[in-house]
Amino acid sequence: MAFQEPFLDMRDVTVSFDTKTILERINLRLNSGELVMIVGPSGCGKTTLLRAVNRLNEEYPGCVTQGRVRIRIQDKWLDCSTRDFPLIDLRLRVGMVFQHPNVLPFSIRKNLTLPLRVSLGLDKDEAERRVQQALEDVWLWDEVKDRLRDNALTLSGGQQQRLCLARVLALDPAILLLDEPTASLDFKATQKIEALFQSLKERYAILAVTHSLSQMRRLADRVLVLRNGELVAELGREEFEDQESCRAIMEEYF
Amino acid sequence: MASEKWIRRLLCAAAMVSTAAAFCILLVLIHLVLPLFTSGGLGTVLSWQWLPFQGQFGILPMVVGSLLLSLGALVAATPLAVGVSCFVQVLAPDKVRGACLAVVHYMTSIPTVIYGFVSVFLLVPLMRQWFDRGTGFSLLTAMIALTLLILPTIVLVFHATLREVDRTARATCAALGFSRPSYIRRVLLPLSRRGLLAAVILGFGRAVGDTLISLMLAGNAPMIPSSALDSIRTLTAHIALVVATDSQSTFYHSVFASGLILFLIMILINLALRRLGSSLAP
Ligand SMILES: Nc1ncnc2c1ncn2[C@@H]1O[C@H](COP(=O)(O)OP(=O)(O)OP(=O)(O)O)[C@@H](O)[C@H]1O
Ligand SMILES: [Mg+2]
Repeated sequence: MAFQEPFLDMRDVTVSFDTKTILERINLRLNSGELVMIVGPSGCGKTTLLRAVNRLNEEYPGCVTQGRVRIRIQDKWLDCSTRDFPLIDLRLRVGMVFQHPNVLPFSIRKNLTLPLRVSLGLDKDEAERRVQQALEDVWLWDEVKDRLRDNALTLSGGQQQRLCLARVLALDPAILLLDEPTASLDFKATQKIEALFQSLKERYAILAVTHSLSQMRRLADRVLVLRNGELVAELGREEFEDQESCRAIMEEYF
Repeated sequence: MASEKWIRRLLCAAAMVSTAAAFCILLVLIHLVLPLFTSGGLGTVLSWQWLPFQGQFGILPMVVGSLLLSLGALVAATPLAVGVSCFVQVLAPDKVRGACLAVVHYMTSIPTVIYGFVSVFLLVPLMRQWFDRGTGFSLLTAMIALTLLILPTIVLVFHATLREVDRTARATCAALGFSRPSYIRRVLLPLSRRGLLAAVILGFGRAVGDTLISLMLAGNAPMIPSSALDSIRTLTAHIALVVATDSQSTFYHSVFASGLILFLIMILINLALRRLGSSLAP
């Protein structure tokens, strides 16, 4: 069954910054068509764990990563933790939405087209087509279609967050890393974006961080609890489905 | 709050004092140059011949010399500085970065006269040998030394901006699959244009204002060069020479006029670059 085939496989991943160990021997599998959520107290290493997947930790000084990360592309397993693995390919396969909206101080349109043109080398028409599609996917098209030339920093926080999501979707990755993707969205937009994730999970494997237990219960197929840099529990749907028992479990871990 | 009030007053005073100082310099220059206008000596100063003992005090060749030398050095130093800054910030490994920045810092603190005399003993003979023409004291020689002199200034100022932009944009672009070179070209440099402009203005100020390099290396012949291997005299060197040789007081008119022209060149180039900058703004 296609559902069960893993997309991502992390083995004994340890990340440290300047000799301080942030993540300790993380083992994790992500299947295609599955939405896995990571929860845990602030500062426990959730963001660092996401960055370990696309090797973004290496962009920060003093970082040492050990262990093995593999992704499966067209029925082949690729070891992306080797030194000479092409990072650009990895990052195009593994799209990441940051915890804080990180639009570039260019126009709204350029924020979306620049990666398409530079990283994927698409031509202008194809890029434009994908821009509109991605903006429609995140329900932003109607809000910004008349102001695509404006600086992206003039958008509201929630709009910026959706723009960042659109920017990643436009690149058409295989795995999505979402770091609290609805943190600055209102109730209505959150609903829409959550519905989007439900539909995206048909096409992508999704690894997401959340601070909202209710969101976790609505979306997750599986939940990983992270504490002090270690995965301390893995919960299946049946374990967190029920509100009371979920609350009890979380009380225990936080 | 009393302390806040005082801080504001202090800052205000500092700003006023420096503006007033610049303004006073301009006033004094105008006051000194004014006799030229009233006595009609302006024509003799704004002419192409410097033959003081025949009563010709033209300083236009020096204006041309100053502009050629400083703009030439700026044109050579700017791309170099951009390259060095980008390499240091984005491409170099941590250790190399530290070493490069240390060298650049050190270079800014070397006195100009040292650049000057090292060039006299090293660069000048080389130029004489390579081009087999003239004395080796030429526009080109001075330009090379001056490029080296202003390079670290431009690098330091530009690198400060680059580092800020890099801090905010690096991870974003890396996550979007940019290669390092295309990140530099498509994101980092476009977002640091204003910093580059500030750096270039500062570099130009140093280049135009520098006296020793041109005095020691450019040959000081008050003429329009026909090639880069010809000798030139800059306005600054001219002022130094005339004042140092204690010539007749009539010579001094040309010194005052040179000072005023230097001042005006700086203002004009500043304005031009700023206009360029605002047209570049997103
Ligand atoms: N670039 C870095 N350099 C040094 N230390 C870092 C770096 N990035 C993260 N850390 C450290 O790693 C730990 C985990 O950080 P991380 O951002 O992964 O936490 P988090 O679980 O995402 O927290 P939050 O829920 O608040 O976002 C923190 O103690 C942080 O100080
Ligand atoms: Mg985080």
